[in-house]
Amino acid sequence: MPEAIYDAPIPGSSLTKEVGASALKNPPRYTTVDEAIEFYVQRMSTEEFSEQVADVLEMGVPVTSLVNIIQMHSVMEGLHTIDVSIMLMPILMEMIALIGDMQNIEYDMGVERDDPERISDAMVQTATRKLKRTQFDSRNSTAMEEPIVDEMIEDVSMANEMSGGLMSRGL
Amino acid sequence: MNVNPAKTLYIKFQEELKNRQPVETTKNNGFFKQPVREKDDDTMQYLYDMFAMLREGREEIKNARSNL
Repeated sequence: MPEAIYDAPIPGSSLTKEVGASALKNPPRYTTVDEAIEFYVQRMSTEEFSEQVADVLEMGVPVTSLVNIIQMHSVMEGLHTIDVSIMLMPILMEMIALIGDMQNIEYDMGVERDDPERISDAMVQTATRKLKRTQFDSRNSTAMEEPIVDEMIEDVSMANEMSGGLMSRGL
Repeated sequence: MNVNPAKTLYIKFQEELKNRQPVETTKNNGFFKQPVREKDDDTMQYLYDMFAMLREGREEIKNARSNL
């Protein structure tokens, strides 16, 4: 049975803030694709940015994930709309890949086409976890059963021994 | 269902790249080479051009490194 999620936002909570309080709900700073490209080109051309990108790529974060995060952050900051960010995604990916190549980093683009025969890592992990749990449960149940049976045998033999009351005959 | 918009669009742009002509008018902006945008250019064409140029830049870097 699926567990209930209690940390979800309360319906309508996004409407409780004042109008225009969040950057997302104001007009974007860069309204066209051209303006947004200029912004990213300027931003990504800095040494600071390229060093940060290099660090992230070296950690093994795929370029697709990095671009998704960057564009989502920019939308939340009110820099541009989601439409503009969607159109820019491939360009941003190429720019980040170019930075990776310039820094001679072996990065993961994250665009490998899904192979229907391939089993994902997450599925393998889930199966391993289930197997471990089953083994653990079966081991525990056998470990629990054996002492109970032994104890019952002991109890019966003790009862037989103790059954010699005043009126009873010894066996 | 897990959707990755960046991946989907990147594959789309890659496919579009196969039928494209090389871009002639370019400018350098920071690290990146960009096509020069004319006012009447179509936005998608401009994006495809820029994508192609960035890809060319990567190829050049890879070739230069392999020739070292």
